[in-house]
Amino acid sequence: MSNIVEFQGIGKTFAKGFIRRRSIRAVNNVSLTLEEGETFCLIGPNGAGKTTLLRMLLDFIQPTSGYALLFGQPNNLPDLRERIGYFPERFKPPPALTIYQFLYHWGRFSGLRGTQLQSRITALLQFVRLEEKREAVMRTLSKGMAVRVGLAQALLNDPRLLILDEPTDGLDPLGRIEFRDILKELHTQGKTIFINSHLLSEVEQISQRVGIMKNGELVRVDTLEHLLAEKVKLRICFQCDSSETIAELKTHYTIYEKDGLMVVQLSDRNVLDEVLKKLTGAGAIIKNIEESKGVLEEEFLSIIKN
Amino acid sequence: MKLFRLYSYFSLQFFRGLLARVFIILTMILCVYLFTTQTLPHSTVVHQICLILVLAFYIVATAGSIIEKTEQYSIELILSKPFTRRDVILADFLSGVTVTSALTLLLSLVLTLVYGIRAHEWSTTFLALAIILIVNFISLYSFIVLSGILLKNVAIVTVFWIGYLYVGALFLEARTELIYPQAGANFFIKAIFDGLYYLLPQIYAVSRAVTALLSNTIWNPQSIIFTLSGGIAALVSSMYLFNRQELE
Repeated sequence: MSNIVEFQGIGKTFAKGFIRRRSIRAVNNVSLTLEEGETFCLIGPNGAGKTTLLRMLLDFIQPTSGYALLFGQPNNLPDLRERIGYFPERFKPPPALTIYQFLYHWGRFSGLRGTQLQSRITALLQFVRLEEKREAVMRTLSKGMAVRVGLAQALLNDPRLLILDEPTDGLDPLGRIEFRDILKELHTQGKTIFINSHLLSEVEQISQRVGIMKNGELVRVDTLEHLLAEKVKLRICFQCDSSETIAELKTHYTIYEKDGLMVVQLSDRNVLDEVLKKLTGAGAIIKNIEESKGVLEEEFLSIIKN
Repeated sequence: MKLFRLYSYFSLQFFRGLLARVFIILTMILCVYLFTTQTLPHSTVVHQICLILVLAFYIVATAGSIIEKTEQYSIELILSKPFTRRDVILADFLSGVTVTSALTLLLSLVLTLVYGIRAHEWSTTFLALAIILIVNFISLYSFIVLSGILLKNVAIVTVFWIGYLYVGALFLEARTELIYPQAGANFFIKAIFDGLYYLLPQIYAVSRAVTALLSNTIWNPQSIIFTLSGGIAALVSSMYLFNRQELE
């Protein structure tokens, strides 16, 4: 697998204020790589530096330290953009154009012509489910439709890398589900997808790897599986007459009563054997052991709060 | 080829935005010019009034071009395609100049025909006015793009260049009478005003030069050369600055 995106110690400091100049460090020493075919999500609270990182990748702003590579080459080479599809955070297409006209011009910008361009537009309008709206003027589109047009323009050149900055912001639940389905389909087509989002439930369903940014720093990068595995909860339901054993367990773990049974909740799988041994040693009857997966929100909150 | 694609898109956008307004206002101005009295096409005073009115309209219509592109974030969409920032500036400049030039020439041709049929006299006045407008606008638009990149505010850019058109250009033209006596032996002040005069569009001098050329009298091309050179310098500076600028 080759690296499609690479950040090496990249950082950005903005100078703000006209009279009193002060420095704001938006991104600090971020190193990250994205491999071909993966869906990577960058999450973090507002102002964490996610958009700044993407904008440096696309050479809209220059880093104050470090560098970014696209397809193993310096990111400021214009020809590299032939292999990229980009959906900006503030997607504002020309309001007077129809969907077809907009896609036609943007297709020409990507080097498509004639029948190749026509067939590509038709295929993409079908893909984003807008074939019946092709003559609709951009200013009349709903937010959900505009997002789908934005995705279609990003896919015009059949890019290897798709960069999406807050794509589901402002979409209704149905729009989000549709958008998520489209992204899943793109993933199966082998596209590398780099998403910047703060909608954790969305991220959880579409990404393989997640990066968490906080105050301009990339505090954690891991596969979604690993991140969620850390938040696994085990619940042992048991019957036990030994109040001493229950009192002892209470000092280390959460214990509560439910439906006439005692429940001990563990957040670490490694202590399961030890707890079971204690319980059986005290004559407890184990009724049930449940396992529940953690959610990204919990991991995200614990990292952000720490 | 890539530049041409961007140029044709910008031209279309420019044309859509300008077409209706240009035709309404230019027709109004030039019809007043044409139909008030029969001697008017040769009147220098009306000539000057029309020139600055049309140029003022062009400034209002084009001042926001590059600023709106960056303000409305469409620049990010364009730069996510394989274009350089230099392509964006050049395409924007060329489309602005060609669309306004084509419309101006077309209108001057129509007015020449109308006047010719009406007065049985084939006057070159309208063609002269079109050439003066085009030469001045090429230079003015370069400076509008440059100031748009620097100031990022449509209102300030518009007011500044209309101010230059009505006051600044006349003031610089009259610098020998207004500034030189005050400056005395101060070479530095004289040099500043001379520099500004030769760098910025010499609107009224260009007007005189073109009129002289078309009326077969002695003419001096210096003002046209300086005005176009200043425009090129402003355009190159715009490209350089926009290349270094960070998109907000």
